Amino acid sequence: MAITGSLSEFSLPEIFQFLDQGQKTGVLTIRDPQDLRTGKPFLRYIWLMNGRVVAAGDRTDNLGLARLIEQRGWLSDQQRIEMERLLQESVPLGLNLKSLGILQPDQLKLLFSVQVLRQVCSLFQIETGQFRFENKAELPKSEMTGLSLPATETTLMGLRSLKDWKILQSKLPDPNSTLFVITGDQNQLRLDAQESQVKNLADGVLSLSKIAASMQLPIAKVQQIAFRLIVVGLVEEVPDIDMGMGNNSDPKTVDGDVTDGLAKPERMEVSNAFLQSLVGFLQHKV
Amino acid sequence: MEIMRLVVAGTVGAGKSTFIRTVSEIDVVDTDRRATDETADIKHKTTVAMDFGRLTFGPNMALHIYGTPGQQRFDFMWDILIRKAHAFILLVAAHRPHEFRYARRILSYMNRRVQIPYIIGITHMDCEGAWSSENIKLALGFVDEQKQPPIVVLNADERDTVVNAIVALVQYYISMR
Repeated sequence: MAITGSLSEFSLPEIFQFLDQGQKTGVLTIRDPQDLRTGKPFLRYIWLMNGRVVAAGDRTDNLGLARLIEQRGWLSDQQRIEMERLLQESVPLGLNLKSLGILQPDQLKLLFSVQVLRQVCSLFQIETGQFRFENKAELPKSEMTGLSLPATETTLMGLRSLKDWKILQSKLPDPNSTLFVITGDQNQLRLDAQESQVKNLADGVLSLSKIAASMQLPIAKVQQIAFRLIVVGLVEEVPDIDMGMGNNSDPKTVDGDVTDGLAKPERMEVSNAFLQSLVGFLQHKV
Repeated sequence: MEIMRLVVAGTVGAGKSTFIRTVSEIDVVDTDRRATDETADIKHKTTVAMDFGRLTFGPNMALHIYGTPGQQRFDFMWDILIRKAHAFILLVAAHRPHEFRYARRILSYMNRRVQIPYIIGITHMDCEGAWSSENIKLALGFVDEQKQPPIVVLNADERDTVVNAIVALVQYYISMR
C-alpha cells in the first residue's frame, strides 16, 4: 500500500525516520510541479532497501548511474561495452564493476556521494511538494553502487547543512520541553560535537532553554539540534506543562483548590467486581 | 460510588468529542458547568474546554469519560485529568499525517507523567489518504511488536466500534493490573 502526502504535512526527516525504523524497501518519489527555488517542475526518486538509501535519481530509465560513470571518463571503450552488458544483471552495477576491476572502491564512494548524498541532502531544502512511497517496489540494480546509508544518517547530513529552517519550524521541539535519551542500537550514528553535547544533557530535567543557556547557544539552534536527534531516534521530546498564566503568575492565584487538588492522592482503584460488571455491561451494549 | 475514569486524548480532528458523545448516556458538556463529578470539586475558575461523558451500569458504579482539551499545549487541566485517570485511549486520525508528531508528543507527555495503560484508536480509516494501521504504528514510533499497546480501528460516530474500543481499553487495563 502506497503512502502519500504533502511534505508540508509530513516532513522529509519524518519520512526518513519512518522508512528507517520500519526497515522499508521501495521507492520514495518527491514531486513538486513548481519548485519555489527554480520555478521548474521537480522530481526525485530515492530507492531504499531495509530502511537504507541505496540509490537516487531523477529518471526512471535506470541509466542515471551509468551516465554518471561515463561523464567521469573513467572507462575505456571496452569497459563501456562491458558496463552496458552489466546493466541487465540482477546485481548492483557498482558491485559488478568493482568485482571486474573496472572501478575502485574510492570511485564507488565518490559516485555514491554524488548520486545519493548530494541529491538527497538537497531535498531537505524543498519547501513544498508531494511524496509517495511505494512499498516493495523493485529496486533498479543498474542504479545501485552497492553502497548504502541508513535513511536517518542521510537526515542528519541533510539537516546539518540546512540553512533555512522555516519549513520545519512547526515541527521543532518546544523550548520548555525536556529530552530523554532513547536506548537502542542507534549508537552507530556519528554525531557532531554539538549534537553529542545536547544528547549528553538530555536528562529529562533540563529544558531546551536551559540546555541552550548551558551551551551558550541561541535557543533556535538548540531546537534544531534537538530536532535532528529526535528524528534519528536518539532522544524523545517530553513536553512540559504550560500553566498558561503569564511569566509572573502563581498557580495559587487561580484558585487555591487547584494546587490542593494536585497534591491529593488522585486515583482511586476499582474492584475486580466493578471491572467485570463494566465489561459485561459494555459487551451487552454492542 | 465506584468510578472508573478514562481519558480520551488525541490529535485535532481525531474525533474525541464525537467518541464521547456517541456512548455517553448524558449530553456531553464542559466540566466547568457540571457539579456532579469529583473533578468539579476542584472548583477551578479558569475557562476550559473539556468533554465529559458518563455511563452508569449499577447503583453505585459508573464510567466517566473525559476528553482532553483540543489545543496543542499541555496545560494544568491535562495534568489534573491524567492523574485521576485509570487508563486512556489516544485517538489518531489516519488521514492526517501532519498530526502524527503531535500524537507522539502526547504519548511522551502522558507516559512520563503517569504510568497507566493505554491503547491507540485509529479513526477516519475510510478517508482518502488514510494510512494503514501498520504504518501509523511506525509513524508513532512503535517499532518493537513486543512493546506496543493494542491498536483498534474505530469510527467515532458508530456506537458499536466506540464501545468495542472501550471494552478493549478496559480489558487491557485488567490485563495490566
